[in-house]
Amino acid sequence: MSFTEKIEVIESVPVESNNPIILIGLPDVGLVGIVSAMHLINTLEMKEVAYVESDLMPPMIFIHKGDIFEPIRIYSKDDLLLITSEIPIPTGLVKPLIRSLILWAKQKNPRLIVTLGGIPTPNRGEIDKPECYSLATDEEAKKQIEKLALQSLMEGIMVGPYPVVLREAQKHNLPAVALLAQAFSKYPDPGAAASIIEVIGDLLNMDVNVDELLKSAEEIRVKTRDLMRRTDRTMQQMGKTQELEIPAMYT
Amino acid sequence: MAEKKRRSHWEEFEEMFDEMQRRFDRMFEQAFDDFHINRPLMDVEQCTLEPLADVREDVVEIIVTIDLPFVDKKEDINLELFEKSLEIRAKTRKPICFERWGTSQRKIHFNEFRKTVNLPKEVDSKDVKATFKKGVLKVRLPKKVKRTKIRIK
Repeated sequence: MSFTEKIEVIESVPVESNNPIILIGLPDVGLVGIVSAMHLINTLEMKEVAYVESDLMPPMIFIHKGDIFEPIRIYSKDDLLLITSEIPIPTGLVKPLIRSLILWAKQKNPRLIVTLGGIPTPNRGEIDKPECYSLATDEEAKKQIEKLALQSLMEGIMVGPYPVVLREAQKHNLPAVALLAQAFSKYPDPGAAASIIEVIGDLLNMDVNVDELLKSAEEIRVKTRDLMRRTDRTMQQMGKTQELEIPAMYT
Repeated sequence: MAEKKRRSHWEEFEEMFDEMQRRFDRMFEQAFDDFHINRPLMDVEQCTLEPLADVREDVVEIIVTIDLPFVDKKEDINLELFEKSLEIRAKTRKPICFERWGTSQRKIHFNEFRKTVNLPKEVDSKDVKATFKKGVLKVRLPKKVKRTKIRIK
């Protein structure tokens, strides 16, 4: 039995989205993915429809308002699906987990897969409104985000779960795009999450208010310190610092 | 020949010893890391929170940055430099409250951030500079190094 076969997406409610956009927000640089995912879940009143089950995952549950939750969950609202995790994905689990998620996503025939993330920015402290960059897997994905007028990443190295999302999506001919906001690498960055959410709002043609997110930025920074520390350690194990290096190819 | 063989054994022993030393260092680092990562970033008895900090260094200086949400003014931050560490204490503008904490589900309040950052090298206390912008404290500590300019012929 392969690792991928040991990971299962369980639909607690049948997911019958029609040609959905699938967002993926995982703990990464500045916790941009998880912070923006949580804000979208709350603001758009998305409902949990599925979760990931695997013997390879740490034995833990999350408790909220007396209910119990798996760490990796999938939410839905109309034709929008959102995959998020409350734990940093352990290095050895990244590839099999993402492969399983993309195989599941393929069954839903998505029109676009979008990852929500941050890009480590050394002078982030001097930036008032972080800019967003994009990296698309194919022409179809590029066409879909054309109206957002984002700067594309042209050269560099990406490390972590998101590059695996892009490659797996590419393998299955699914259009995918990584959105990356300038962010603090080692501190939770709600400001960067707000920039990503505004881009998502433009992509979905809906107004997603970020005022509440920015108002509670300090509280988020305090309450996500432990997750940030664990995420930082996982990123170090993956060799995340290589993102600041120059690739040898094409020089 | 015999001497060469003896030296070779000695080299083997040295290699083994070095490898043992490296393994022991890795185990120690791992154990210390695990201890650190499994300890929550708070002291419930002292009502203090531990802030996130980042320590970087280059040839000439060590740069420590510390995230201090709910801290408004530089006057609320107390920074003290010791021989090999930097101690930060910062008062929050209001108590930070966690409604249901831990297995006892009790309400807890925190009024202060506190952290001791171990410095990787000895620093020159005279030229230490600190700034506080948008809730992030940045401390630049020049390393105590003897520098000699070398002329290239």
